[in-house]
Amino acid sequence: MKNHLEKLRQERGIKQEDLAKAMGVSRQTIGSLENGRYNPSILLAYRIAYFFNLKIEDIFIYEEKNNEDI
Amino acid sequence: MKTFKKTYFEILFIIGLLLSALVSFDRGYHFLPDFIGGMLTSLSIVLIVFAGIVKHSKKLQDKLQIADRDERLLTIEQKAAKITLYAIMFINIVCIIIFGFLGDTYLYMSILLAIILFITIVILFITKLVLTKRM
Repeated sequence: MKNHLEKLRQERGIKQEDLAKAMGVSRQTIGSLENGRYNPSILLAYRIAYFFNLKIEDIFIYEEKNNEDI
Repeated sequence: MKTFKKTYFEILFIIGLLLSALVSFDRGYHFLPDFIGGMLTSLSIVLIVFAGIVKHSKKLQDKLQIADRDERLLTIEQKAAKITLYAIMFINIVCIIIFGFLGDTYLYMSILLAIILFITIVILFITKLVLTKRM
């Protein structure tokens, strides 16, 4: 699953640490999400979307192929 | 799902205090073997120091709280635990076969390993059953 998280975060001038703190996860998790190495749970995806005041599908792009959960 | 709580460390702190009280009591009445007494002394010191540090460090508490709730770390832990469980079961089976070939001397070892393997499989089955009904 691809996402626009890094772009969105940088556009709004938010540090990985700050986003991680707001989401209640570690900075490494935000890094993994941005690199596409980890796909978030629906709850975390909702929290991220709510944080940026966007819809989930505006941030995360579902792909049929390469759908590994880590 | 389990969440980090400050009370965990308060409980650890109290256990540490109780152990140190037990060890102090043992100094007078000598009812514990020396080895156990020494082990309990070091355990109580570790518990009191560790729980005391965590209880009074906001930064460490936040770090532990995130580590406890972080879904990526939890997923990694679950996958690591699953791989470890199956690796242990595989090693157990290999050991049972090897000990089976070594004759009567190792028969009890082989039986013990088979019992451990059986209990592991039963626990795995029950846990799966309970979780399947809950989710």
